Amino acid sequence: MSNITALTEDERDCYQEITNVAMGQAADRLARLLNVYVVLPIPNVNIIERNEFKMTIKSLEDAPSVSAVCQGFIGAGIAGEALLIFNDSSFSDIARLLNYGSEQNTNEELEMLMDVANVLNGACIQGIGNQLDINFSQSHPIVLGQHRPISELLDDKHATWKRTMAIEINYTIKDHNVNCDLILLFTEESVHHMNRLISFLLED
Amino acid sequence: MSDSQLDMTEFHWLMDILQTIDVGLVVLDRNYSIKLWNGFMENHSGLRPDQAKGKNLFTLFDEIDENWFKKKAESVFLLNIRAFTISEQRPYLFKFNNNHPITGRAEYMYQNATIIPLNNADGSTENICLIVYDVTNSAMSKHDLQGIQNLLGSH
Amino acid sequence: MTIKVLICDDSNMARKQMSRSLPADWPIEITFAKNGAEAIEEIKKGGQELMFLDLTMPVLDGYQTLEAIRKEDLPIMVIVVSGDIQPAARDRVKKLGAIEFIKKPVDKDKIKSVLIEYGIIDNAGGDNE
Repeated sequence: MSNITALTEDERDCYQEITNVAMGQAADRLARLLNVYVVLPIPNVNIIERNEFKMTIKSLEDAPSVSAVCQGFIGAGIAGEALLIFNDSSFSDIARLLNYGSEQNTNEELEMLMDVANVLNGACIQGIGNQLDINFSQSHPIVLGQHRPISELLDDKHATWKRTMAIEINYTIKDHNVNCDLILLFTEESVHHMNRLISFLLED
Repeated sequence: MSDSQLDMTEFHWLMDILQTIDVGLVVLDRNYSIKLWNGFMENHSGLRPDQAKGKNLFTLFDEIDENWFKKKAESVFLLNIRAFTISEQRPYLFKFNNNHPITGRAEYMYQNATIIPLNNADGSTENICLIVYDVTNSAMSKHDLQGIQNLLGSH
Repeated sequence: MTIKVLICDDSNMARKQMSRSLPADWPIEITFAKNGAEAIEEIKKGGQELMFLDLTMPVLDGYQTLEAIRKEDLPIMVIVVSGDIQPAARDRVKKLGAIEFIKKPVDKDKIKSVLIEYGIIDNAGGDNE
């Protein structure tokens, strides 16, 4: 199977639009959970080499300390992970919105992290699956770490993959100091399958 | 709602649950031919139920050591008991990719498995169910812990 | 009579999906715009009667486009088509003068029923004018 080093303009556009719809559905659920308005950005779609991975993720979220949860998904030959990176300075506002107490300990912060991750990761994976007509299996989420610099959360030394397609969505909440990044990471093999799946959407 | 309607609702719930649960479910007959293949198995193997059903388990998955597996399964057929395998014996039964392909360190999915007898009305066991659990996380933690223990022990 | 329809979306695929989802037997002339600024330019040329407008776009987004249309009192009916399905987004575009909000991915039947509701096409599918 040939390497995927870049996406065509049409492919990038298509992934962006599919993500746009999925993250809209995710934002709607978060908005209803927290009773807020979630500001939707234009998603970023990129093919990333492994040696650039840490740097790229770091550049997306430059907070000194973050907490992150990731969840695997797989179906119809497409596999990847949804990685939610939470800027630690967001916790006090999230706590207020979720009606947690004013003083948070690490355990309560984990509760909030999981509450938000369940909504955003779940809805996004489901939303993409619906559009591609795939019923993804979702694995149990894993906490990559709490209150750590982002570079410590990711282990790229033991990784076996070469490149990944990363779709980055930066969620912010209007009038609140809440900032998190949802990054969808697809394996290179999945991108081959997905390019085939979306080709019918791109036909004239 | 009548009892039979209730049963049908529950039946549909159960079917949804079995399809969605993060656990692999495979029913095999006496000849190790696949009779049931749930969503977990479909998504991780890439084989749809229509591609798996009716096929021999060992033909489809040559990574499974036939003799080893049969030794466990035959006791389930014959003795009507459950059999368990853990990832320390063999890291996996089915060679599936790690559920966290990008952030994960493991090359493949570590698995525990349970084989349970499915009894006929007369009590005989014509079919067995293979239940596959993803234990990659705990396997990796154990691996890390052992590494630390070895390090400490050597001092 | 042919109706001039403007489809404004930054995504090429979304523009295609939108134009494919319009009633097949509807006599229209479609113009595409990649962002709000291009759309305003087209509307100012005159003749455009109906616009399908996306919200999340570079240069000039959907909200800003609706504001500009209102400010300059441009004569066009706007149906917002967006993936941002939060109730607040829907309310905001209605307040800004959009006649209707349709969620993405677009659904052919939904579009047709909206067009019928606003008398833009009749039940048979042709236009009323």
